[in-house]
Amino acid sequence: MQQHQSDETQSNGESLHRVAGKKGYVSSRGASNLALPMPYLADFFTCLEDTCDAKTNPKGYIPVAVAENRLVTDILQTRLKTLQTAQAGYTDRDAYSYNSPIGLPVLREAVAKILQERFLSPQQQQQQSASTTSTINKDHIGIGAGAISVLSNLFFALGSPKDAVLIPAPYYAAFDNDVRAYAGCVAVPVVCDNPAKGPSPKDLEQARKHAVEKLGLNVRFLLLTHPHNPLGVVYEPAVMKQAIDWARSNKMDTVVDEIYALSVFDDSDSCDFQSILQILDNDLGVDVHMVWGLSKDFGASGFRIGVVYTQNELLIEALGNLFTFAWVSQPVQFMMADLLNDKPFVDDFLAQACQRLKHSYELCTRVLSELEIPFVKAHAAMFVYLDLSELISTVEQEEQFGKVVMKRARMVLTPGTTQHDPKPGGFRICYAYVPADVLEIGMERLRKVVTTIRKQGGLGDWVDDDSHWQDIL
Amino acid sequence: MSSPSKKTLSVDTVSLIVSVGLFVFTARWFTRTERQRRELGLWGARKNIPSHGGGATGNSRTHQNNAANQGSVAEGAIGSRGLVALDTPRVAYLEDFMYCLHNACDHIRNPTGHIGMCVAENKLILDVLAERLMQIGTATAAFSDSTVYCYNSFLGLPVARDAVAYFLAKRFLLSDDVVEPEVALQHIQPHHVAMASGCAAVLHYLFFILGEQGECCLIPAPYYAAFDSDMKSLAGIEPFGFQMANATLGPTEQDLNLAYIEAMSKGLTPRFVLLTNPNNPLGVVYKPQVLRDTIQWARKRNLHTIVDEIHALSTHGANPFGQQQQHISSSKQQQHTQRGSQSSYPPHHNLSGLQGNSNNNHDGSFQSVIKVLNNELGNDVHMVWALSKDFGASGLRVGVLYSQNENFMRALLASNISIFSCVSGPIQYVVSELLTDDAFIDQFLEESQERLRRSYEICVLKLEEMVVPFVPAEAGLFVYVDFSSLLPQKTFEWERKLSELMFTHARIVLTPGETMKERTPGNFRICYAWVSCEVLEIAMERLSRLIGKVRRMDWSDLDERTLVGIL
Repeated sequence: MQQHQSDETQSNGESLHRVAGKKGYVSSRGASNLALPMPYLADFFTCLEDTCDAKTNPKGYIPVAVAENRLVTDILQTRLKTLQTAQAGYTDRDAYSYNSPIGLPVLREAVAKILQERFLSPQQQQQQSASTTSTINKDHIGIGAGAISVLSNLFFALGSPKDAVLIPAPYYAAFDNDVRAYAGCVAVPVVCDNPAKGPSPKDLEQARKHAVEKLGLNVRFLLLTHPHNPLGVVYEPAVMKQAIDWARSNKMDTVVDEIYALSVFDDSDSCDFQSILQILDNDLGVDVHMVWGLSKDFGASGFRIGVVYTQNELLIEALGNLFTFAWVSQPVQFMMADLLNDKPFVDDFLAQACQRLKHSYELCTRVLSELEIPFVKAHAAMFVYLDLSELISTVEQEEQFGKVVMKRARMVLTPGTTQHDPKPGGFRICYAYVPADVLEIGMERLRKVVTTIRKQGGLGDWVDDDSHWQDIL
Repeated sequence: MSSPSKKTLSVDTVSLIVSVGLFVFTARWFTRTERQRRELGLWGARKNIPSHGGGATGNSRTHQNNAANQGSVAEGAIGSRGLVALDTPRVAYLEDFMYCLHNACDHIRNPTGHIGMCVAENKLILDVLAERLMQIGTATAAFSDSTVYCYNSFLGLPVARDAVAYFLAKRFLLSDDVVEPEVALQHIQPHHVAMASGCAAVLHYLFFILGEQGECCLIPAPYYAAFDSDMKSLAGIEPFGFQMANATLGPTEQDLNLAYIEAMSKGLTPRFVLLTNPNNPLGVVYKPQVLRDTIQWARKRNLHTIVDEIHALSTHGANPFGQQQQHISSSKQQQHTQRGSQSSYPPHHNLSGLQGNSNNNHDGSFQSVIKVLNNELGNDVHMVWALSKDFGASGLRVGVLYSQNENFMRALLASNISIFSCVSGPIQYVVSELLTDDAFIDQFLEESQERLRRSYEICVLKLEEMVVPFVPAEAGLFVYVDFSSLLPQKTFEWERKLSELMFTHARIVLTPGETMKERTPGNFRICYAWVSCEVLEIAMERLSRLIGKVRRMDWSDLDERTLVGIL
């Protein structure tokens, strides 16, 4: 039977796609999904097999290419292991049965409260004032299996194939795949005069023209990540407002990804983070949608909890059907509701999380300053974006540097051009992926690598010579 | 209930909607002010639509919504594909069912409440599962391991994939033989196993990665109503339900050939055959030979065979008639057809001896496709299972995929397709603990089968008393009942009227055959495991009273006055 079937598939090779060395076949749609969504992932998976520990394995690998906050896992763990919360998921009958795929009312309410207190009116929360003018309606909230899933379904429901999604560059590499996979939309980078300040209407207009005239696309969306990934900056409210006004004047929907909203650790006056909910005074209209999740701010990417907040009620209804495939396990929804409703814990947790992020950020940037490597001053999130253009001027050199760092320093950073940085030489360090003591080891290794390259007057064939790399580890 | 056009929504229809949408969009582009005014109006109207109405008017509500949605494509508030998603509700009777949730019958506190028996969920064993999951060790273990907090393989945590592979080997392939985990993993390799957010997501993976937009999937009818949206919403695969000479026996080569030709003649390209075994809604178990023949047939035509075994461990074996009785004598069949029914099901049987025989057909009646093919699934046979039915845990959203097609698994892993439907880490951890607790599973399954058997018997004894034909079931959470003799005319309109009578006067919701692509009007699925035995008895009593009146009276005389006293 096996033999027979193999002949059959070969005769029908047109629609069936195979890969040498692998059993089986897929359709063309399957084949288009065979490549890794991010090129550095292979190295990342290698790192996971032998990770560095300051005491037990100081020469192990240090992957700092994934934006996860692992500095807070212990705090979350202690809280979730309290029996009442751990069991909360199983005590209610509703946890076991079909409910709406858009999320259980209990979690949507808990999220509504978080959005109210920490996104829409953070000042009022501090002042304990009850004079809230506008309230978050839980019916405008949807819960899906991770922000990534929420985004892909959102673009599917709102867009059409060949719709362009404008995204200020550099940006999170996986967006390309997220907008394409289901929706067939095309991500188009917006090149900004000053990426740290955010996109100006002029930047946006240029990108729009490029998408229409050069790429022949229908420009339908603007996607803003705020606080920004990979730069870690916060835009001024006026920049956000202008961008949305510009999108509206072009009849585009704006999606604001605020997945790092509660990880703003810069408490100086130079940083004024405002959620889009606050900027628009909770009047989002039908064309502005906010996405959030527990992955980053709560260091719980494994839980797969994404949130969409939109006042487009048709959209919520459509997502209610589409989330059938992005349905969050209901016991987990109960437990998360229990967690988010514990205001004293959330207050304390977020304060500690920001403190730890700041500590690691400063550890990281201190070494960079000592080395006189320029970096973007971050206000939030869990990464620092550094500029190695003094050593790197081409994409090939950027790749070469990545390989050297992997081979000699056993580290993976996220290369800038994979994040659509128009200029080679940018790298993102996700400092919160490792404990502070491991980060220290990593930064020392990086110091040695950069010093060695500088001593040799830049990258070149010499990098393959082991003699230059004796005491990196 | 859906309009006929929605059911057979083809690629052409979709592109038609898209082009109409685009046309309207362009036309309205120049009249923005009016557009905005209308938008507000439409949205206001939508907000006023009651989420739970009287039930009797349920049929027309969907269409009102559609009208509003059509308008809003022009408004640009939602894409045309979003519109299709809106228009593809999971199941059409959902709205009436939601009503049942709000005024649920309780035999002590609310004996006249509503009784929803249209959803295949096993609520009879909830307490047993809850007790196990709430064990302190298990509940806190979910959060003890730091891997659950982080990104990991999109197809499942290693510990969870190991557990699922072990479970499939033990319960599906080796049929409960005592096996060591290491031995089990030699049979079923964890990298051939994946988890996703429910069976719907698992099916969606198969359809999306293995199929091309616009291809079709052949499904023996009647079938589970939500399959349509599982394959259509994102993957764009067309469901093609086909009829059989005898649905209880499963498809024959002739049935499949006819279906294939019919699909081709409608311009569809078949790419999949989807078998549900044990079958939903019939509750029957296909013989191994039926699986073998179907797979062989599919292989000749380069089709994938997907076997949905979501009810595999819910074999209650309560069918007292055994296999041999499924081949009904031709005289009985004739007698049945003479009564005006064109049903392809055997008539009901005398239930004498039900109690004594309840175990005689239990062992060996169901065989998983994994066992039938001796675990050689090849690249084109894929098995799906979930915790939803057999563990009464649809809310946990844990679906399982078993496929030996490594390119397919690679596309799933490498692509971000699988990151869109990941199972929450803590639940994966809990599930791996659950599935490897052999002692608990043994006891749980025995208890579950016992409770299903008891409810099934309550149900069919009453049906027998009512002289209503049904398909004798061996597995699943439902019984398939033929009320066609009650309909004045054999049309789905009259089936809908019967549904309305049940909802309005008996406060009962069953799954109408029409929603499951049944050919003969008047068939209904009773999901008896959704309610306790006590409530089930109330429901069957109400049905009996209703049917008595329907039989005695003219339909034009059936109203609130004449139907009083059913509750």
